[in-house]
Amino acid sequence: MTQRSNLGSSRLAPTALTITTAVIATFLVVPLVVLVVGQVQWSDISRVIARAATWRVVWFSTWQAVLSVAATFVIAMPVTWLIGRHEFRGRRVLRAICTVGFLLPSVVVGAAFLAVLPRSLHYSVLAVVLAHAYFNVAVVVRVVGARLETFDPRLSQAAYVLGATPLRAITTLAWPLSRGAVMSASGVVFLYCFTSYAVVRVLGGPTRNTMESDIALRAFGIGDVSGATVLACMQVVIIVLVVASLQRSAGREATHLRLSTIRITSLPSSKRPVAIAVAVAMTLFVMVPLASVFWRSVRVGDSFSLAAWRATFGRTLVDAVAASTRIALLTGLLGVLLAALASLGIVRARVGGQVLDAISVVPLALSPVTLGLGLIVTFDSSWYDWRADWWFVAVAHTLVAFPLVTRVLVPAWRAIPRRLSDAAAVLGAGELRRFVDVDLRILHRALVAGLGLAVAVSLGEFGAATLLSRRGAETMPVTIARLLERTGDAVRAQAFALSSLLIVFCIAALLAVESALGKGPHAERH
Amino acid sequence: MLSVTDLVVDLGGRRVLDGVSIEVGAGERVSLHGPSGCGKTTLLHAIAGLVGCTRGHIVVNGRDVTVLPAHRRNIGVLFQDDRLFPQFTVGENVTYALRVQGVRTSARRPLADIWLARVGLAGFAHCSVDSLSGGEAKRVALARTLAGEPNVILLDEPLSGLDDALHDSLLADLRALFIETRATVVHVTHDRAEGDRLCDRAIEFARLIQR
Repeated sequence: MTQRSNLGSSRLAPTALTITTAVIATFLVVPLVVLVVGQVQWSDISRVIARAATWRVVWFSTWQAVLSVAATFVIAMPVTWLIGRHEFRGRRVLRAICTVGFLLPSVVVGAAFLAVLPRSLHYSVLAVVLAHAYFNVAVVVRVVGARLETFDPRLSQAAYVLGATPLRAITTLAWPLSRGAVMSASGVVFLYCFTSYAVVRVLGGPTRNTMESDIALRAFGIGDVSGATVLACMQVVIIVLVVASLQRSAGREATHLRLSTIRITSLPSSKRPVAIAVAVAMTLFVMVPLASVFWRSVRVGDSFSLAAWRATFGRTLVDAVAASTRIALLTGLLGVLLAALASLGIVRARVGGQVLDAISVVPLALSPVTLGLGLIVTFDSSWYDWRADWWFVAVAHTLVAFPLVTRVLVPAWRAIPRRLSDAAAVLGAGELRRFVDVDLRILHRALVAGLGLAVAVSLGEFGAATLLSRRGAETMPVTIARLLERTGDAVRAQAFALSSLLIVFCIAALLAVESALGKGPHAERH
Repeated sequence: MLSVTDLVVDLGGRRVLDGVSIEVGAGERVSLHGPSGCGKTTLLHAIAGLVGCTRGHIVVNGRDVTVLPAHRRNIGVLFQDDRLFPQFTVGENVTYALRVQGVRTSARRPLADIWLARVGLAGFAHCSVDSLSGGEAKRVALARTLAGEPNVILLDEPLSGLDDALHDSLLADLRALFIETRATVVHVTHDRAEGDRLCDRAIEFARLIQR
């Protein structure tokens, strides 16, 4: 007989719930309320809505995002089909290569395309769209590829003998089964591109702004905080509408989600040349921009120079490396602590867990720029200069990383068999002892993964850091963007050297995540 | 009706069929039996066009279909694992062949009801395939195969793995339906008794191999 354990009524879960709620209220809810209620008046709303520039920004954000989604699918679909339908030697490596772009900080992706594209394409929509596609190929490969893996090729055979042509079999069988995944991936890619900031700032040039970059420009370029807040609210509404429509379509597709058995087949020899061409093309698409970053870091004009690297480890740029490192480490600790408490509350608390679960995704709907703006306005006090403290950036980064880390930890908590805790209890272990001996022992890999994820998010985070970090203690992404906005090969080489270092840092952090998740008890990936 | 001559099939660099020949007359039901792994299913898949032939000829109604793709052969297959389309209702599954032939939805619906009634599943058209029992799924797969009015029906051990009662009941229904529709049937099985009850003629698979 299966029974809910009486041990579920522990004091730890409500305590965790209370602490998490208090932190989220203080650093997320209150700043948003202060921002909207304290800064915006009705006249601001009508002023922003009536302004033609607002709609130009909304229009640009939308059409470049739609174009980016289309470009992402065009580039990603051949390799997605290859990985999703066929087993072959090097499949895992190819999938990892496809994921590289998504793991990199967006400012580094912007720098990579500055490094690889000819000067005539710098500051163009094409550069922005290509960088967005580079960043998002992984979303299509992971989301759509995972669905294609579950498509049973024997159903196609059944369709053929019933008279369906191969095209007809795809349109009537494979497409209906993968439509939900395609819509999901499109929605996610659209949101990433719609709220893009670093890529647009680095590659878009001064005349092109998404809503996100316009919010930052208004708030800090021209001091129009109320206008920026209205734009931020408009952006949240658009994000919520897109997410709601995605969830509706996901709900309609729910019945097909039961097809979870992996059904990939060996690569037939007739398709091998095409497969090799696709794999090589994707590898070049991912690796050439990265190699260009390293290349451009040692090139000044037409000659080789290590001056940029000397500057990176010398006094000029070492402050940025140090700032990013300490902020990332603190974010890792705070992020894991907060997410561990939140996930404990979500999984174990009898009351309020579902509410906290819903609240925990709010930062995902908020842009980091809006978050940073809210923190600045709320904590702009005369009695203490919060912004002068480096750890204030880590607080913002913790809020950005916390929903993602929570998504890693919640399934890990759920995977812990309650019977082990029950067994420890009847052997005399108290609540804290059970937590340490049972829960933490099983959770520790997920915690390491969460730590790596939070560190990676912090290392690459750009929007909030742009607003919150002070000159002299700027993070690496902020410094890279500032250097790229200046002219001269020597200065840009410093940006590329710093970008190279950031690439190494991020990949190291994410390899730690991959390693921890790969061995963890909750590892359910394929 | 169906003539297979000197058929050779290589799969993955291995010769699976080597010189198989078989003749089946119109309306005749032939059972091929042999042990597992002897190539029975490969022969059916080659006749249906699901695997390519290295050599030999397959002729249906006087037309050489050897190099035609599966969707242009009009040969029905009742698979061992049914292969119902999970995203379609029972009725949509039954009329899938008509759908790809371009028959309009309004014309397909009554045909689905007719075929479902003939396999003892009247009223199931709107059901999800996930809600079907094993026996019901077999009947839907049979209706789907018959609804396309194929020239030849290939049965790939469709009754294996069923309990005795269901097996006997489905076997009787299959026989009645095939006699009623005067279907030309090739049935592969490892169960000789099943083949004898369903078909007019039985062939030991090993005897089909010419060399």
